[in-house]
Amino acid sequence: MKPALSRRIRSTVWIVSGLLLLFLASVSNADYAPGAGIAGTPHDFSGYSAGANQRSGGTAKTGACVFCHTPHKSYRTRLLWNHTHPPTDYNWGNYTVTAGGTTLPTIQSTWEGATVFCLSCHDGTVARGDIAWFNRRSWTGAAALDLDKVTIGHVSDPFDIAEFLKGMMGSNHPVAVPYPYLQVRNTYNSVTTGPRVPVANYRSDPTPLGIRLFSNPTGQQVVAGATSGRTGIECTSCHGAHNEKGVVVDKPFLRGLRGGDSGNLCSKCHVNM
Amino acid sequence: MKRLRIRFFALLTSMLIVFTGLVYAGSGAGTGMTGSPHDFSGKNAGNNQRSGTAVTTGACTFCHTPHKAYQTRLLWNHTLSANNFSWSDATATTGGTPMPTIAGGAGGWSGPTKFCLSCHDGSVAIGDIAWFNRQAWNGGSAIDSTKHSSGQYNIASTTGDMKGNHPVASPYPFGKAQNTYNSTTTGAGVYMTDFNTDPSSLGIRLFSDATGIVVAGAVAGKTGIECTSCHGVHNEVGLVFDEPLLRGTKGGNTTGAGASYICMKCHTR
Repeated sequence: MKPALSRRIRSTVWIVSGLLLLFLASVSNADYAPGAGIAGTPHDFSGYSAGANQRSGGTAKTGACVFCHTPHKSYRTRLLWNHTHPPTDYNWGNYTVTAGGTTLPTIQSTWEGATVFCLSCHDGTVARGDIAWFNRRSWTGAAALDLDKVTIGHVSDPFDIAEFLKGMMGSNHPVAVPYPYLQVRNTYNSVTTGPRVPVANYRSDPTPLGIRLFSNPTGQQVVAGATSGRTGIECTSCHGAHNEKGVVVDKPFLRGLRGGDSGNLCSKCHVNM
Repeated sequence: MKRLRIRFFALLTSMLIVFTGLVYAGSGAGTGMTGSPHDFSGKNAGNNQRSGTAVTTGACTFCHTPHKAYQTRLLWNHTLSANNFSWSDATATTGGTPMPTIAGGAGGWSGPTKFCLSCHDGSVAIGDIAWFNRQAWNGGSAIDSTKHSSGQYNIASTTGDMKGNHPVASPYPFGKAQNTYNSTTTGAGVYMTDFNTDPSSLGIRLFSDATGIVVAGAVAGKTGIECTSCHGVHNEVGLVFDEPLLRGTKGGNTTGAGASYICMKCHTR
């Protein structure tokens, strides 16, 4: 091979490798490994352009956390919540009670549990990038950093949870409701486990299996962890919204497997069926 | 061939620019006090005692003075807010850690947060100081009467409400264990696995109050965070990487060893 030709081939290989590297970097958000941390997941909101840096004038880019959290000027201190809340109370519409007699709840916008925060994006009424504060300014309404809403196609959109009438949670597993912790009736979010719920069909305490339980000491207050008689579940009981390492094992952000028997998400709570 | 070489180097250069842009977030960040937002030099402050010529302030004087300071801790020159600081919309985090109260005034909390808030609650003018150039400059005599009562530099309300701000003067789960700091103990529901056992190796500053007075550095069971855990208020060389005076970058998504993104230096998601 002529030396000039050989150099040309080598140069071409270098250029192609460089382009491939850039391509791979650009598509790294397209897929993610469950339980590998938030980077690269659908909940990694880094990389959006957000105006100029104060002093350098260069373009500031968002960090992973900012569509949900901010260290200053958040809407609520709880979770340091940065994403605009819809002024919505959520309910299950015409379905008011489970077969076991547990009332389906109303989830008020003042509720401290995680569900309200998840639905601030996942009811599809507020744009994903509609946030209180980043890089010295607010990004609300039409000024949102990303105008996408999780409404497109409604039923066909896997990310739209409280769909149709916005605030209608029908067809979704109850959340912000009591869990029969220790196989007895619990009260949570003003709802008590129904009288016909077969409590023996629930795992006494699913937390060692990675499920997160919450307690509701009084009113709208929620704290992490189970408390006898005051325990309930939220979206984050089954989902690890940060793709937590060692906790999330399947998509979408699941604390158990979608399929199978051993490690199956559903059977972490529902037993003896 | 020459053209190809030129193209190759052009591509290399553009890639370098792209990657440099990703790593380096803000020109001026981490280059020291001079020219930073906390450089308070150049304000007129009367005349020289003997020459009669106009005196201008130095960089440090709105916060510190070598003599006649309000208190020896930090040789604090800025008039302290009369507020005590607390969070009006939350009594505890989801993990059950109570939101702290930060006692203001000269006899109050000894951690940096109280001092930062003497400007950043907007109740006191930024040029309201105990001493410079042979005189006091407080109240109506402030060298600069601007107040951070609104806008990007306003953190607490003028009445001391810290609503919407990350907890400070509060415990950090150093060593992935419950810690007590400023009379507040890490909640029983805090997931220790979600925190870096010791983020100080990544440039985060931890504090302890083992003796009742805040000192720099972590102590097992007695460790907490202050504003200056995340912010390098002097735009420290080699420690501040982004605006506003951050000990990390405000963009990004990295965690673990070598993490640059400020949030994930502690929150190991």
